[in-house]
Amino acid sequence: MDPRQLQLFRSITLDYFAKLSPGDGPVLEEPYLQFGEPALLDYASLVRIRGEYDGCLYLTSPVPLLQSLLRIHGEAEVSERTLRDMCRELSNVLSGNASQAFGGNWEISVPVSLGPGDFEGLRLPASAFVMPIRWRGSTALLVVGLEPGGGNGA
Amino acid sequence: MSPRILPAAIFELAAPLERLPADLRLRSLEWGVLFAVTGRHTVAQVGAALELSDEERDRVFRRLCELNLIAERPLTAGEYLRAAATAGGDRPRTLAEFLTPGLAAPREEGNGFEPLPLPPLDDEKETAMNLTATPPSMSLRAVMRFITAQTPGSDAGQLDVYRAFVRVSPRLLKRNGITTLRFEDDRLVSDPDLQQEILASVQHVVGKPCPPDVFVGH
Repeated sequence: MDPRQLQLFRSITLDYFAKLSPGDGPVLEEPYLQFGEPALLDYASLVRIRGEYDGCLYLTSPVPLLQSLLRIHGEAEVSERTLRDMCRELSNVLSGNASQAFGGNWEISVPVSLGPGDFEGLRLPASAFVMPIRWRGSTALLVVGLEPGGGNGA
Repeated sequence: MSPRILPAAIFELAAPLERLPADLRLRSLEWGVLFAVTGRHTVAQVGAALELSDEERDRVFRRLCELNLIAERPLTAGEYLRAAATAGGDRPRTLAEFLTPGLAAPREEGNGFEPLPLPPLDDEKETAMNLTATPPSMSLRAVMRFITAQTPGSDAGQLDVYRAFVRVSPRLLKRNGITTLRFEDDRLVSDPDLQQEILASVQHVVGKPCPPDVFVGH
């Protein structure tokens, strides 16, 4: 994985939030590594990647952040149905961003949207690079998870 | 005469890392093995962890011995048998074969088997752990700074830190209480197994071994 690809992926994901609320843009907090238990909040939008390494990219969000997005999109109802709709919207955004940043020799799966009850049995890489994005008082996590031993050695 | 290196032998540092001569020059592989010597792991285990061929491994151990950087550690009978279990490959052996030259014999024919003298059995209750001096702790912040210093730009450096830690067993990290790691966090790792995995992984990712200053004190 090329650092420029990672920068682009992060940057266009931040741009998505910035365009939704000019003047109240997202803040990228200090990234960290997470081992063992995956970093997962209430909902997650995920694509699997395959190329130099196998792994996945996902954006996991707490309910308040999805509520803020629903409000911006003019949706008054906050229910599991609308939250899942918003999560699907983010999945499409994530998939488009991943294709833009990691196009070329990476295979990118169709996006998956996950909500309450969907995380059980979900298999994610055991080590992840986590980039917290703070926006409108909530924090989503943009996560890169790579499997060890891929390509030139993850 | 060059020392013979037995796969089941256990080596320890002849002097603390911070007392290495400032002008000491070693090849990358030699630095890697030097940092992997824990006083607890056999030659075979160190070689396997660093993915070395037997020839490479023995050559490097020989060279480090000749430079008086490492010294073979006398083993108790119990340690000796545990060490022997790490060498000799998968070939099924009888108990007699296991207990006699086959376990740690040099590959060359006719060299005989000369194990180090075993201490009296009274020492048997001592474990490898408490026989060894407390190993130096590894500073994870120093390791991460070493990795990030090898590449321009913080993203590239952080990605390399991630690449290095992806190869380290999460189970081992968890055993040492490490479930998250911020790039400016410092954690001191004293578990030789974890130290060894980190050193091998860093060498794999950045192509050179960690410097001695990733270790702090004894």
